[in-house]
Parts: sequence; C-alpha cells; structure tokens
Amino acid sequence: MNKRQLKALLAVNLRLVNPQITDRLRKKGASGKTLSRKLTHQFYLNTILFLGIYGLSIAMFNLSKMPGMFTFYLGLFILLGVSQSISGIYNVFFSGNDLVDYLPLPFRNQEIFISKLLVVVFNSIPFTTPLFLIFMFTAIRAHVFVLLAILMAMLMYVFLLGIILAACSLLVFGLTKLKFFQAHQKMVMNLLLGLNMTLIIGGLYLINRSSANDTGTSMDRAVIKPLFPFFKVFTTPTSPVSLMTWAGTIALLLVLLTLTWRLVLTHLVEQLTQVNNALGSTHTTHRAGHHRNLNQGLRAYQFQLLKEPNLILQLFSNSVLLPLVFVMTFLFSGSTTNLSHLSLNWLGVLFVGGLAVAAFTVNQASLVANLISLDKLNFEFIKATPIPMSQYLHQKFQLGYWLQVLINVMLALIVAIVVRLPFALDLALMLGVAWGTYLFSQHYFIRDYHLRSTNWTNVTQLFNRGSGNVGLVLNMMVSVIISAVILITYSLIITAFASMALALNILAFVIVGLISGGLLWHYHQSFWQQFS
Amino acid sequence: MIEIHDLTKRYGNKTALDHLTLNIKPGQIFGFLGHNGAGKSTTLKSLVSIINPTSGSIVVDGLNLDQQRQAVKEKISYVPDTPDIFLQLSASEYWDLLAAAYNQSEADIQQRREQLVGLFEMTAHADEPMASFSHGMRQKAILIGALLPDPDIWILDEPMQGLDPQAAFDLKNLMKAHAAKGKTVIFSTHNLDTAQQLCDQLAILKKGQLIYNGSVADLLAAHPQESLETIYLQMAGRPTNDHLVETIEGD
Repeated sequence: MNKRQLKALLAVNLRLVNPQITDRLRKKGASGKTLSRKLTHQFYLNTILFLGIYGLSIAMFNLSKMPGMFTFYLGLFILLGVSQSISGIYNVFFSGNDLVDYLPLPFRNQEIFISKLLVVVFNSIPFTTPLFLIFMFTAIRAHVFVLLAILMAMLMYVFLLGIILAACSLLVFGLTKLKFFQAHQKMVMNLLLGLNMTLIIGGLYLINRSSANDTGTSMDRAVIKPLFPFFKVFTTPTSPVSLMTWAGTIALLLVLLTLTWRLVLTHLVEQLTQVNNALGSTHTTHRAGHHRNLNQGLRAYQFQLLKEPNLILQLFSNSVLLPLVFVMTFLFSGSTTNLSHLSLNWLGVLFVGGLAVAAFTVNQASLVANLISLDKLNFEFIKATPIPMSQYLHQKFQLGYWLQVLINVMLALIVAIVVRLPFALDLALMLGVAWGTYLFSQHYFIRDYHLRSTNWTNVTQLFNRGSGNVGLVLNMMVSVIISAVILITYSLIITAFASMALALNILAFVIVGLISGGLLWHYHQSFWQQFS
Repeated sequence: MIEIHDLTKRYGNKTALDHLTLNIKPGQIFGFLGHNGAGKSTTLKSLVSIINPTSGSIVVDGLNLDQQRQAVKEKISYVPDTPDIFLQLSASEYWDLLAAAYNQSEADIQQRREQLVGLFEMTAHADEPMASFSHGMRQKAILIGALLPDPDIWILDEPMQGLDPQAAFDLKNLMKAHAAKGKTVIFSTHNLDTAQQLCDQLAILKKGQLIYNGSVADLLAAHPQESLETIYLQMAGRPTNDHLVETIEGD
C-alpha cells in the first residue's frame, strides 16, 4: 500500500463526501492541502461537537442504574450510524460516479476502495462516537476499573461500527447484484435512500414508543429488550450474559466481514464499474417521440430532471421529513389534540395557519427553488432556441408548484385528520396551504433564477446558495415565530370577539388578499414581465 | 512496443471491435481514424484498462495487460474523449492526484508542471474547481495532468477537441517531441489535416474492423492526386452522400 497515493485518494473522497462544505471553503479561497486540512478539521469539529453535546447529557445520567435510557441511546446512535453509513456508501461509491475515471490511473484497486471506505467511516464516526461515551460512562459508574472501562468501551464501539458498516455494505452492494437493480438502477437507488429515511423515522418512532412508557417511580424509560445484553456487558462485565454478548458480537462481526469479503470485495471493481456506467448512462426504453408537441416534449424533459436519487433524498428530507418530524413532535408529545368542536368562526385562522405551513415548508431546499439550476447549461441553450422563455419558465414553475403543493396538502391533511378538524376548517387549512405555497414558490423560483448555478456537481451545493444552511434554519425559525405570533393574536381576537368573527375573518381575507396582490404584482413586474 | 492481438469487444449482440490486430512501435505517432462508433475509443479504452475486451490480448513492452495491469498502467497516461472528470477538484488538486498516481514527488515534477501550466495558459485558473471551467479549459487541465508524469506512452482520445489554435499547435509540437525521444503517442482524431500532419502510422477503422494500417505516405502514394479526405471517405464513408445533401438543402 502506497501511503502517498492513499493520502491523495483520501483528499479526493473527502471532497466528494462533503460537497457543501467543500464549496463553501472554496469560496473562501481554500484549495489543495489547505482545503484538505480544513475538511479534516471539520470532521474533528463534528466529532467534538457530537461528543460535547451528547457527552454532557449522557454524563448527567447514571446510566448504570438506567437500563432503559442506556438501551434508548444505544438504539438511537445505532440508527444514526446505519443512516450515515448508507448515505455515505451511496455518496462515495455511487453518487460520485467516478470509479471509471480511476481505472486508467496507476492506483491499485485496494487503495481506491480503502480510501473510499475510510471516508465512509469518517462520515459515520461523528454520529456514532457517543456510543463510546455511553459505554464508558456506564462502566465507570458501575465501578468497573477506569482503564478496563475505556478499553471495553473502545472495543465494543469498534465492533459495533464494524457490524454497522459491514451490514450496510452488504445491503447496498447486495442490492446492486440483483437483476431487478440492473434493470432499474435509479429506481432502486431512490428506494434505498427512501428506505434509509423510513428506517430513521420508523426506528425513532419505535424506540420512542417502546421506551416512552414511564416505569413509574424512576426517571428511566422502558428497556428495549434486544439491546439489554449490552447493558449487562458494561455493568456486570464478568456475568455469563456479558461474556456471551462479547462472543456473539465478535461472531456476528466476523460473519459479516467474511460475507462482505466474499460477496462484495472480491468482485467490487467489475461490479461498481458496471453500476457506475449504468447509473451514468441515460438509457431509456422509450423512443424519442417525433410527433410530440413542444409542451409534451418540455414536460418530459422537466420530469427527467427529477430522476436524480440525491435530489429525491434531499427533497424527501427537507420537504417531507423535516416538517413531519416537527409536526409529529407537537402532535404526539402529549394527549391527542381534538379540534372537532371548532366552529366556522375559525375559518380565517385555519386559512392563515395554512399560509404559515407553506412559509415553513417552502424554502431554498424545495424543488421549486432549484428547478432552473437543475437545467445546468441546458438553460442557456434553451434561451438560444426559439422556445418562448415565458412558456418554458411557466411550465417549470407549475411542475415545481404542483409537486410542492401536493406534498404540503398531504401534510396538512395528516394534521387535519389527527386533530379531527371539521371538514370546512380542513378545507380552509388546505386552501391556505395551496395559496401560501403558490406565493412562496414564486419567491423561491425567482430567487433560483437570480442565483442560478450551471456548474454544480452535487445537488446539495444548490441548497447552499445565498445565505447557506444557517440562512435556511434562520428562515424557518423566523417563519415559525412570526406565524406563531400572528396565529396566537388572531386566535385570541376570534375568541374574544366571537360575535364579530365573520367581520374579522373578512378583514383577514382582505388583508391577505391585498398582501398577495401586492406580491403577485411585484413578481410580475420584477420577473415574469421581462419574458412576455 | 505495443502488440494488440485479435482484440474483440462485444456488447450483447453488437460487436464494437472485431478481431483487431496491430503493432505500434516506439518513436511513432500512431493515429486512429474512423467514423463515430467505428471502434477508436473502444480500442483506446481497452489499452488503458477502462474496458475489458471480450477476447484477445494486449502486450505493452513485453508486459501482458491482463497479468501485469499495474505495471502497464504506470507506462501510460491517458486523455479521455470527454474532459468531464474529477470536476469536484480544482485543476491543481487534479494535477496533485496525477503526480501521486504516478508516484512522482512534487519536487520532481515542479519544473515540468510550471512549464506545462504556463504553456497552456492555466496559471490563473489552477486553484479554480474544474466544474467551473469551459470545455476547452477542462481539456487543457486534463492534458496537463496526462503530460505531467511523462510516461513512455501517451494515449490521447481526440485531444484537440475544444482547444484554441495556440494550445492545439503547442500540443502537436509536444506530441512530435515526445515521439522524437523514442517514446509513443497514440491518438484518435476526426481531423484529417491533423492526422496528415502528425501521424507516422495510421489505422482506419470501420464498424469495428481494421480497414487500413500503414503510413500516411504509403496511403497517399497508393492514391495519387487524391487528398487524404477523399481517400478516407472512399474507404470509411458511405458510397456517396451527394443525393442526401441535395435532398436536405435543395439546390
């Protein structure tokens, strides 16, 4: 193994796995070794951050007396590890699509793969190191000799990380061997990434449900039984259960490593080259339609743009998962909210509530906010053709809007069903969502046009334009705060002046109408008019 | 010496390369000519290990590619037919990667790197990501990367594509100088003037089959008073396209 070559390859893969940070650092002038150093520092920073945040909270509990909490944290960080490993393997081995580029170069295959695997490990470490702390603190609090506690914690952490990585490798690379995958590569990749997200949501829900039952007197949660033997390992290290757990963990790791070696690593070059070629190709079973009209042709093209697994993952995560987690946190945290008794007086509040949902869900990471940039250089090319720009952009906007409104209305519907809203109010909420989505989609669509990027290599770079991630989070927070203030005020007024509810609602609609009209006029004057 | 023996590549029922046998001697500029899909890139990609041929063998300086792939790779540098590779890297990071791949220390290649970067006028762009480059600039960055380690054999798949006239002129001179040192340059092109200017030996492919292998001079001598373009089109083209052109463009 040539260390210099391995280092050079690691530098490349570090950039591949962190496209957003790489892009940001490049804009600040970092390149070459400086960039590699800063990316490595980012990795350390993430690790320390996670260790700091979770270390503090874990250190506060005496986990040796709280088996439920121990198994809860263990389950949580194993899930995070699985999620990070799957997305890491996808990003580094598949999304980069660069294996063919290495083939002519005199790198050894093992160097290429070790460098990629190491980056996947780096990517998973920050999210899983709290496991080490959980093990260590539990053992120390159980009065295990400190050095032994550290050694045991370290060993078990490495074994578990190995199991997670080997299992994820088997899953991902196993999928690529299926005949079904070879026929529908992109769809399977989308499914895999979707599965990853579902695993996290489902896993978190199950962990929360299985351990949320209070044991009564103590602060502990209910124990997650399959993970309980690990608790024994660190509280009573010499018990038969502990020794069996060690043996079982090591055996499982060895089996998975052997399977990974036999089934994955030995044919990896051929397999990945084949997969990379397949993913890179734009093979389609449909013949190009000679008799399509312009609208149909453009629509088919716009839909083609959406068939990028990473884009779908990000969309799912930003437009569905994040709001869903947010909503679920509120709705399932206490007793079930029942709003079936609300009268029609609340029509306006629900409509404004719908606008608030839209303000929260439509942002720079939404599909509609990136559709123009997804064109890359095709956009400039289309400008050079006789295709009317107005028609092209309207069609693009409509696609983005309808997909976004579909997601948002579904979210609103889930909320409406859970809180048992009367039908009329339900309708008001969804109309508010649809109208708000229209207004905010216009804003972000125009923003994309002004900040459009043609040379991105990973779709996540698009979400980082303008104010970046900090801006995204700030924007969401400000939306929530402003929406909360407006909704609370509106609700208080409606409650206090119930007899004047109709007049108040009409006034609210007039205000919303005026603001909407102003915004639409502004969007037309500043953007759409130039293409007419 | 590169010996290609009975090389065949099939994709399902389609034969991309059909029992190709060729010898390429050191000190030569060897050109591949042929229409799109004739098998030029398939041959070059087989030589640089991107494609595994269905059958046949490739031997480079006595080393069988199948058995000593690593050693063969160290003797070859390659420019692909599209320069859209490693776009997440800056040009200078890409050159560092190539230097590491060929095990050359920065000190060893510092002077050559500065000269090549200067020659192709890339100094100001060295730290910019290649994703932001125009096609021509990407081509220059990839060319610099390939020429930097200076191995014995350069394999260049349509290397003049996107280059400005100055860069194309400089590249031709570099290719001549490399061959003059007793080393080998293999390239594919659609430009017959370039082929005529540069090639010591020429292979013309048609639908995966070798239809001519010899020197440009011999080819011209065999068809006196005809240009290379006419000869090439007679060999590799359709019988006549005149009626199609008339149909499309009218009078």
